[in-house]
Amino acid sequence: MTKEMKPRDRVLNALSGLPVDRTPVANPTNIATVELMDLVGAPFPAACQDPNLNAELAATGYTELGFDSISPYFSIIQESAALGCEIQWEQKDNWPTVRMTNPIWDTAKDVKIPKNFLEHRDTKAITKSIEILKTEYGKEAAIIGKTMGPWTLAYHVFGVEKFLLMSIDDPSATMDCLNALKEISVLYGQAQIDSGADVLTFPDHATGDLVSGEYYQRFLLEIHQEMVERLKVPLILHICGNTLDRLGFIAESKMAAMHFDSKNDPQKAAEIAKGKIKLVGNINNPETLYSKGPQEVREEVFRCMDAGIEMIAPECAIPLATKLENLLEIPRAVKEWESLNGQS
Amino acid sequence: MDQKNQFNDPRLTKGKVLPILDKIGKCVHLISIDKFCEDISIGLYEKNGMMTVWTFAKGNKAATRIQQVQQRLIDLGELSLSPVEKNKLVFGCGEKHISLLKFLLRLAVEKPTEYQHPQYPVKDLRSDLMLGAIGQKGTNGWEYKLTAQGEAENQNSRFRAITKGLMRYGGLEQSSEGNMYFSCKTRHDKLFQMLLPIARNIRGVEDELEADAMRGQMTTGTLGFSPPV
Repeated sequence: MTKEMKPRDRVLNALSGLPVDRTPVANPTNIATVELMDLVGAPFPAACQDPNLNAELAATGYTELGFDSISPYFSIIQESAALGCEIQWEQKDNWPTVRMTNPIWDTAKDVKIPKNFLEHRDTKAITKSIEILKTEYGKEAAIIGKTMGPWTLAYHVFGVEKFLLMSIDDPSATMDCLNALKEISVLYGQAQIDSGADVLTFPDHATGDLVSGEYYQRFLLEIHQEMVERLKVPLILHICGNTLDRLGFIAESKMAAMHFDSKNDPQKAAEIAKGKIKLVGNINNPETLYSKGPQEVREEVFRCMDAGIEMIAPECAIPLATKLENLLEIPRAVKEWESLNGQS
Repeated sequence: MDQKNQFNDPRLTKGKVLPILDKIGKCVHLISIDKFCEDISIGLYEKNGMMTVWTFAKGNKAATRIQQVQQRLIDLGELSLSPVEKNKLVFGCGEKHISLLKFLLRLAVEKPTEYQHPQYPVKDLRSDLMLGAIGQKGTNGWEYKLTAQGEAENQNSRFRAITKGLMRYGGLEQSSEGNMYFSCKTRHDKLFQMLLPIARNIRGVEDELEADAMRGQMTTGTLGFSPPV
């Protein structure tokens, strides 16, 4: 039996392919719920804007739910807010979103990073929160930051339809846009590393329901390889939807791990990824974590563990009204599986 | 297996959530925002047949509101305070009636405190019928017979649809004579009164439940990246 590890070491070892005492339970994306917001008095949207509230809420994933990591970037809009996109902040029970019907830019030439980008309230909320969390929990838990990839940023600043049409009509202009936007990914990612992030999630929504695997190879693979070179912490790529068709390409990116959706069979994903990239996921959100109970959560965790998934996590940001008992069941089930299979 | 042993994690035993859930059980239904009390969340939890109205929010206002919601559940749903444990609710029949609790909690939290269930008859939504119910003793304990005032060509199909709604949302069962009864076979007039308006509108209720479920979900659809599925 491996000596019991600190959660932080467990996560970092798993991402590096080093031995672990048990499979880590991580959250590359949000695991805050409305009840946790009430518990610590840090509701949305204020918890996305104020570093102290943000840190209070983010820490509950570690202190209350028993996950091995802490992820303070709950949404996907912090950079876009600082770039000047119009944000619909919503209420406590819903996600802030970018009003993409009012895009701020038209072409790559328009892409200009505001001078105060890192000082903007909504970018600083996360970097300052990471500093707080690093001081408080940095020796115990893995702090996972998040910087949005250029494909996602492109949806926000150019509008989804316009950007996707551009990718068909003018691939060269599309690449110019992505190359301009990737500098935002690096800038914000590095700021979070400087604040103390151990790992960065890198969401880039070239999702299965919108673009093909071939698109990933053509537009994003090289950029993602460059991100790995430039951001010197383990990166966890997050793409929603069916991604088995691009998982082979994603593995070539040299990202440390892929955070994958429950639409992908963990066994099949593990076969493709084996030895090339680690997998994180893929407990279903809408049906299992939101609608069902601990028994079904446990079954999904066991399915992932049986497949050899390296880190267990919800597939994406969890629904904000997820029942706490279902989240508590994830680490419990991991420990139970390890115990049943003689791993710890 | 004992819950503490399952976790064996000093973080969680120091935390607040786990010991609370240990006492109040599983969440039957959760309202994310209570517009009548500082947008707090309010959940109905169940353990060993006993219900607890709970919020993780702190402060006197939240505590007072929980007492108020508890009273609303008693008034609207014929629950009563447990004689065994403080601040726990039970149905007199001893059953949990889980499937209808989400509707009951919604009314208790989302409607003003003066709200009462609509009196019979209630207007059907897909015909001109005015619907009601008569309770009577039958072979399955206390049974409810659907009644209708007025005429409609689709009366039979409407009764079938309403029956289906009562079974789906209230967990009721149907006798061989076509009467409806709760699984506990006891009398729950207020619950039936609550369920009839819901059961007449399956499509609307399903849409509402789906919209509720989608709120707070992060998907490519809710983020605006693709049309919601």
